[in-house]
Amino acid sequence: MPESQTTDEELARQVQTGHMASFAELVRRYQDKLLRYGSRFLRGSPDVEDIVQEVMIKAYRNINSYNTQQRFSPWIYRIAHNAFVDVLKRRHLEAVPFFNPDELWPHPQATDNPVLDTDRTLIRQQLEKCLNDLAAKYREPLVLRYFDDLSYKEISNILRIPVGTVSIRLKRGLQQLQTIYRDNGYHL
Amino acid sequence: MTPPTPESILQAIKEKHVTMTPRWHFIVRVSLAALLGIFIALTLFFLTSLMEFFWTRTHLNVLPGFGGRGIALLALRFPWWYFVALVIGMASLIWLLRRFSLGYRLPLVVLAGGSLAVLVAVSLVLVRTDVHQRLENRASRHQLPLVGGLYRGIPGRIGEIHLGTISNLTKKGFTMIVVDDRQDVSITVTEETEVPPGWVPTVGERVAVLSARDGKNVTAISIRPFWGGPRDGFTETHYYPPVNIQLE
Repeated sequence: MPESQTTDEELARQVQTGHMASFAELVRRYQDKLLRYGSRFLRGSPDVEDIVQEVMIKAYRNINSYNTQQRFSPWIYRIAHNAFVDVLKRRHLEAVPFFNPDELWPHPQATDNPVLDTDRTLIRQQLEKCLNDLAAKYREPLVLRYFDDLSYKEISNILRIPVGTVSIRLKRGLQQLQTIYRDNGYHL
Repeated sequence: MTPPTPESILQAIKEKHVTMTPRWHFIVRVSLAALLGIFIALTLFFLTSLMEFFWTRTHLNVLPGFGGRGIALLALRFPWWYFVALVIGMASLIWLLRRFSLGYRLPLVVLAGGSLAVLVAVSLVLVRTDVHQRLENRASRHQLPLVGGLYRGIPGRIGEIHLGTISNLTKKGFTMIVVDDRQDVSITVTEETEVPPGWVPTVGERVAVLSARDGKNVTAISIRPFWGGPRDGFTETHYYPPVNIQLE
């Protein structure tokens, strides 16, 4: 089977058996995604390429901890999330609280909500313009949802928060986005 | 800087001599985390049931029945370090559980509430067995290493609380057989002694007396009829329930 048709999970399994070419293919598939994720989450940090390179090296080093029965993308995004949060903390770019109160209580909306996704193009445009004004805890799930097209469950696995919390952060993040968008003089 | 290419990353892996961490390393890490979780959970079961054992063994359980004075004494005598150890243990367990998908997918309140419910349920089952009694007996004979000190540290009786069965009525009050040492102790009831309205002592009745004990003579500060059982130290099968209480 050509490498382009091989699933990420199968490639990762091949890497675990020592197949370096499969890892090159995984890098090819994910480097742009992680670069976009990193530059949006880190608000255009100049050395995001270096950080993503470190993420890839870390992924290679820890590939044996990946369970091939599960999806590969949340696993590598989790490594990237940890690296990006470390950068935010180390450089004091933004406060990263140890604990968020929205992880405390159950939230009723716990599944992917098509209502929130009605106009993805418009949301993406608004995000591109106002991303830097959003708090990190809302910015990250919005980026993962609307730019990387990840499901609520995948975002939950990356951020290690309940699915209901993902849902509530997306909802509040979108509300905050609309306000910022209006305040910046843009028309909805 | 130009974005990294797959070739540059593979080159960096080669140059930095990056090697894959072997699978067994992750298996050992997860196993150690699981073992640590089991250890913390077992310690919490033990400590919680020990606290419950201590609660009845030292008769702290009767103190809330004495109102404000009893609650103040309870706050003073309560083994707070058990409580602090439980809070630290629970926080560690929750922190550990949240590292696994089972834990982080649940809201913190649900995770903490569920853990607490399991902890209380298991501890209540444990305390209804005679395990702590047997461990205490072994500890008193110095045959229990590690945790023996915990049992030897439990005071046999907190001086201010006396539970017993009224054996005789006297001019000054009554005598009662104290559950802890089976001694017949003389209880003096004065005008300052606080008793339930309309209460009259009855031979055979189980009571809790709050006071400072002085040998075999006790001047009662407060008396409450007490519906105690074997876990409180009462061994006689027949007793007179407190029928004389007349509520105002």
